[in-house]
Amino acid sequence: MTQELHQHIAECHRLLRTQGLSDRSVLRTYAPPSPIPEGPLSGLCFVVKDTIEIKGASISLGIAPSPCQPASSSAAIVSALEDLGACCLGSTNLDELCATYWGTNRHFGDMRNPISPHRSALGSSTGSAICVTQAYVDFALGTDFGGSVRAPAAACGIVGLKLQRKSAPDSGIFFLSPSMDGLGILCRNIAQIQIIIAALGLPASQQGLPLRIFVPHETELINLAPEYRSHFDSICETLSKRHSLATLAPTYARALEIRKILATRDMDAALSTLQLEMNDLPEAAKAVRKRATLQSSAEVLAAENNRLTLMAEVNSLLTDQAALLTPTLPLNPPLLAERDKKITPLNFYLALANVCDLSAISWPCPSRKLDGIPFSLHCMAQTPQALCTIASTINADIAQ
Amino acid sequence: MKDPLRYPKLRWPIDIRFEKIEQQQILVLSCPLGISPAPLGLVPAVAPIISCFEGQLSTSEIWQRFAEHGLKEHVVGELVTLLDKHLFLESPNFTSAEQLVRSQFATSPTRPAALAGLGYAAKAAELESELSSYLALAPAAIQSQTTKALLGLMAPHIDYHRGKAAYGAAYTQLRGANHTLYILMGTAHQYSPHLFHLTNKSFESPLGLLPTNQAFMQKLALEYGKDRALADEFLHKREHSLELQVPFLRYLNKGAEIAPILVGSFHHMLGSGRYPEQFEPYDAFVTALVASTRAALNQGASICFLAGVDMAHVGRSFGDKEDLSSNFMEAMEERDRIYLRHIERHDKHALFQHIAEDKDRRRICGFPTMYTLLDLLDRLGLRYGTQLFDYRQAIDYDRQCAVTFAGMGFYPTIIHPQ
Repeated sequence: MTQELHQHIAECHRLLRTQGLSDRSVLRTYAPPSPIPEGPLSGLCFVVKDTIEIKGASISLGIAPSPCQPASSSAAIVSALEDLGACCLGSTNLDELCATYWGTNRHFGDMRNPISPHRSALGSSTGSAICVTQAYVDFALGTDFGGSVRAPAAACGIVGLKLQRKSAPDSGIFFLSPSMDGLGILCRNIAQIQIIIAALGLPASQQGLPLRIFVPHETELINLAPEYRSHFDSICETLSKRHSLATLAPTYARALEIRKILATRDMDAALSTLQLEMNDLPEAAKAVRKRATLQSSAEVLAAENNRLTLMAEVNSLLTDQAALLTPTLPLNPPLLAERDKKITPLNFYLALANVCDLSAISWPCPSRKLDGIPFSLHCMAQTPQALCTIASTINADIAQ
Repeated sequence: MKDPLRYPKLRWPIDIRFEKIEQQQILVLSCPLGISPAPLGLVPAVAPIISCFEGQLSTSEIWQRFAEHGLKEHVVGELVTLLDKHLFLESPNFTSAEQLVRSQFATSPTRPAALAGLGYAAKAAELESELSSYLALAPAAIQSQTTKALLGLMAPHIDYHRGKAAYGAAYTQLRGANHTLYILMGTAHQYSPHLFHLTNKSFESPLGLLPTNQAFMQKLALEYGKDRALADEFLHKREHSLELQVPFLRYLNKGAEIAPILVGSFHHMLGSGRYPEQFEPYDAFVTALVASTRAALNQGASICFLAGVDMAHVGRSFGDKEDLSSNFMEAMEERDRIYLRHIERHDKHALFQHIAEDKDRRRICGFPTMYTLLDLLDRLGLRYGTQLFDYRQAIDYDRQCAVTFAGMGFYPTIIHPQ
């Protein structure tokens, strides 16, 4: 058994150094530990987005030269996973300063979607998503400030979980926002995520059946691509036979508006700590800093108040058996050539989890593919374990 | 140019009707635009005389026409003076009053409540109790199914007295609503060469000001064309189709805003046999409305579409040749139910054909609004079901006048209440 684990770790390490470095999903690799630590995650290999500190390395945040000092210790979540037996083998590429979500990077190279090469892999935890999709590793860590784990997970056909802010140790991670940015885990299936969060001791599920599922209000489905709409409708119809479905009052666009204002404020503050010259910033980050100067404190205050109202509304719905269900993306990731076209915000359904600090999961639905990319569902609930149970339940219901 | 007081001509528009007050027939002239401040009551015998006020005949020629019936010449003169004083004649007096009223309305940031104290109570507490009594008329089954997910509402615009049950059944659906914006559409009863009429003015009501969403209206006007969107904004001044919705909205959802839109007649479209979307003004407006609605939705607005519409207007009062009867009204109901079924099936073209096939025999004033609403929901890609709450006929056999109306809700296809 130990030999098999050694072989698995060595193979992951080899793939990262060859495939990962050449497809630009990986920025640095780390030597496998010896001997393999024992624990519930023993032998599982993972990589981290290069916003998560690894002892002795400087996180790049996607730009060169790195604006950060070498880390004196690894991020707490990395140490926790290593203590459980998992091996961190690399740091992954990302959108510069996490300021966009296209999987592009002028310093380290653009990343390609492994399952639909002419479409964007989305971001900003793109490298992490690619490493998991390509099976270079078993799982990966990323950060999610508005869908940065869940969107690339959906674009690359894997599972992406965003955790509530305080549900996992978060020291040693560069967050763009102290309240909306969260740690995320990317895996190839829901069962793997369940193993990891159970090992980390995250709150267990109290979920019972049937579920109470809230779907978006009709007015918040108008931006869905027709094929997405038809998939979502048919899934809802199936679910309605076993669970209680209800329409949520319009919520997602409100969250997106609130996030726009608060994200500008928080990103501006985070970027200012890096002491970078304006000219060194990517265009998107420059735009954020510029927008921040135009944003009034009254606007920010109103957004904070709206956020509290929204949190109260959403939390009142999310009892143990309740979940908010949406498609992850409103449409397929854009073609690379059409990336700059103005389209519906791809994180339309994702921002709510950031604004209300909810756990959220995106997972691909079996047998529903569009241009090679599986249609992904997105769910928010009280705990990560509950999310995994709900996602598994929904998958089983759809499969029947 | 002829002397307008020597060659009198009734100005346009004027509502002329006979009313029975204390067993006496009175000829009532009133101004639907509110330029004449008050209605004018006359003895019915003057009706044939003022029908000659077309600007072709002099006062003396008019007198000669009726002299053999004992009409004195000075009576015609006095009638002309009276009508001019009350601003019912085309004259410099009327022109300057019209200019003044129009400019006062144009510069006012709000639209005063034209029917407060007339169509509904002018005092807040009385109006609240009035509205509450109408809402209580809704059947218990309808009252219990209110949902925050409500997508749209079709409500009447007939006076509250005759329409209270339908208003109550429809508006009970807004109890507890948290919509932030009502796209409020209704019939433009007065003629205009333009099809859609916007206003940026907020609506006054005894319950407080109902704000108009400025950003929405400005975007809509800009996309459609400001000139044509606001050319006849003045029609909003006295139009009751929207005003009668305002107290309910203000009462049931104090935080909401409105986007007020009046929809004109589709008469020429019906005559041509071509669907409205084949006409540039219509198509451009709905395209602009879709874009503005999408933008508002994507900015977090919780929108409800509201139509203030009545249905059939039949009887001699409306120009029909035959008397009203219960058989006739049964036939009207049968046709109305077909009209409502086309709405329930989201079939705007069937609705158009339905009106065209009997040449708008029933004078359904809400048809253009409902056609526009169905088209808008369709173009937005919204999927919805409907529920008819109430259908009624207000029949007045004495005055030979009947109006039909209904209340209907539009819901997302999944409507389980939260």
